Parts: sequence; C-alpha cells; structure tokens
Amino acid sequence: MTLFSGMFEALIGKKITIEMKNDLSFSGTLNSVDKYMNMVISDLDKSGQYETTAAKLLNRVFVRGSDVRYAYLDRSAVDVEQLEELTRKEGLSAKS
Amino acid sequence: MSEKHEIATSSIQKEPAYTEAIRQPLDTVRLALGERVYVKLRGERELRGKLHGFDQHMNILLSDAEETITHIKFDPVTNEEITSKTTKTSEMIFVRGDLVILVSIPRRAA
Repeated sequence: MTLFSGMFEALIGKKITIEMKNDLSFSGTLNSVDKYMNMVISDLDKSGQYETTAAKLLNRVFVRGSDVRYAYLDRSAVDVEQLEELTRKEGLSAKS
Repeated sequence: MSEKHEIATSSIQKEPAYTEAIRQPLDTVRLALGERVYVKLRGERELRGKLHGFDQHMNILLSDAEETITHIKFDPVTNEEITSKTTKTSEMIFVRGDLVILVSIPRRAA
C-alpha cells in the first residue's frame, strides 16, 4: 500500500471534492479508492457544475486516478504528523 | 545420476567512489516537510502551502494552500499578451504528481 493510498483509504466515508484535469469538480462522499487512486464518489453535491444535463443527474461517479488534478480535503481529515513521518520513512526504505 | 551443473556467478562489486550516502533529489524535498513550499504545476498553475507529504510520483499534500492560475490572452489588435491571475485558497489539498513541474523549498530548510 502506497503512502497516499493509505491516506485516501482513511478518508472513506468522509466528504471530498475532486477537481479533474478537465476542470470538472465532484463533491461528495468518498465511497472507495484503489492503489491507482481511482475513486468512487457518491451522494454528489447537486450544486456542482457539470458539463451536460445528463451529468447533473449523476449520483455516484467513478473517477479515474490519472485524471485527477486536486483532491480538496478537510483539515481534520488528515493526520499531518503521521503523514510527515511516513514520508520520511519512505525515503529510507527506497534507499535499502 | 544427475550431474549438477553449477553456474558460477561472480558478482562484481564496484567500490563506491564516496563513503557517504548518495542523496537523491527527493531527499532534499524531504527536508522541507512541515515547511511552506512553492509548487509549479502544468497549466500555468502555482501553489504555495505547507508540505505534509509526498511520494516518488511527486503526489503532494499541502495545508493552508494558495493556488494561483495565470491566464494569458493574446490581443491580436495590440499584439500584446494580457495576463490575469486568479487565486484560490484551501485548507488541505492533494496534488496529483504527474502535474508537478518543480518544488521549491525554503533556503533554511536545505
């Protein structure tokens, strides 16, 4: 499990906003995530801007990890100290 | 009776030229954990925020971040470039690594 896969897995059930590379944004509850950071987001915020009227009807979307630009999170959602420690350890294991 | 074919493998060990650990570029960024950094992204975007985590793909997590998008319009009448900037702040932002061009860390961290 990579560093950020673990971080996203801990966010399952929490509110997340994904901004994609095509400038589309999805705001909702993180349903699931995988090692590629593909995500399923459900209970989509209806006030979001979607390209087509069909997209406005969406309730649950699968987002391809490679198409994500940003993920906006709540500050409380991440244990920053733990993440900094894990990042430091990543460097050590990569050297061995 | 089966003959054992032993393949002798000689491992050629190279003597390292230096005795200290060779630092990789990302080790320098690692020094800036907890500090405010500048990140330049593809698409005329820049971010400034506190660095909390990153990986070998340059996926990055920043807190208290400010994003600046620079829009460049070309006016064919006056033949000049018009730049305008928009900013957005976020308390916690994850950035996909394949967009990252560079990360700049504060001098004192290095």
